[in-house]
Amino acid sequence: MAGDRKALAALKAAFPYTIPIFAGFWFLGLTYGIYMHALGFSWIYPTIMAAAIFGGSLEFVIAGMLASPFAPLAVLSVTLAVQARHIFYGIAMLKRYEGTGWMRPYLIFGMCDETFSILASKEPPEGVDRNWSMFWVTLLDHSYWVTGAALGGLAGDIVPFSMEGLSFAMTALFITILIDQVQKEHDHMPTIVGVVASIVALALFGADSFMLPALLMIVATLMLRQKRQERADVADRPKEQGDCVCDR
Amino acid sequence: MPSPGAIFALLAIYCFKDVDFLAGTHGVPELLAAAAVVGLHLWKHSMLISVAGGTILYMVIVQCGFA
Repeated sequence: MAGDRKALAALKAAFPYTIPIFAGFWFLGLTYGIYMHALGFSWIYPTIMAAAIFGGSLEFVIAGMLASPFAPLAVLSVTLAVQARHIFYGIAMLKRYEGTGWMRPYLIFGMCDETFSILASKEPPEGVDRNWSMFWVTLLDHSYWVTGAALGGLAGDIVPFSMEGLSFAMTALFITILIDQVQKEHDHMPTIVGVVASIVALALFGADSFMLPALLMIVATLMLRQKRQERADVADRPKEQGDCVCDR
Repeated sequence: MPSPGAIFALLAIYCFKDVDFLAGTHGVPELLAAAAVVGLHLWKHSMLISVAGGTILYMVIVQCGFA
């Protein structure tokens, strides 16, 4: 069938793009699965969470929250804050996802940093169906993460050495993400505010309930700063033009 | 909407929330391994190397060193 051939050709073209993602997702997915196993969850949990949440770093945080007292509001706000960048991915993909028909809901759901980086930067080769190509990239990346997490959850039992200390993988992951962010951003102030507010909230509210206050402090500080900057901009403008005798 | 830098900073601090700097090992294993991650990442710029290196070092420290 022509449709099948079109899909197969797109799969062949899409697969090479996803190979680097495969290495990263399997490594982190395996770690995540083993981590969940060490927390006492059966392999079903990391597998379903990997498939349904598909949120990489977020899933490590949720794993810890599943093992702590029930706090739905904290989970919701942390999830929103961590994944808010996906809103921008969605806006950037509006045009490309047009006319993708039945694939569209899945393409939207399956969007992640890595898939976005491929879909936004690479065009499929001549003659390859673009919709199928986007579909395969999304599905392949998603499946790497899920199989990695499932294998990690299953392998937790048979790893021949102690897993004590493995949880540091999450710390290491977030440190690398933070370094990448600091090296790429022009304005370091939000990051500094994030560090200070988090430490202050941790000291004030303790390990189990500092996330929500920390988020609120960050948002409030950054909003205040933006207001002040806007006011400074407005105050600066007439001065630059030199046509204002400011009444003090 | 909070900028990504602030959120990533919060997540990095979150990872240290259960570390007791005043008792036990005083957070020395965590800080050593974190320093290794920073060093590796600035040097190699590879998430895989940084995460694997830091985690293995941490596991070695807590399983052998600070027992």
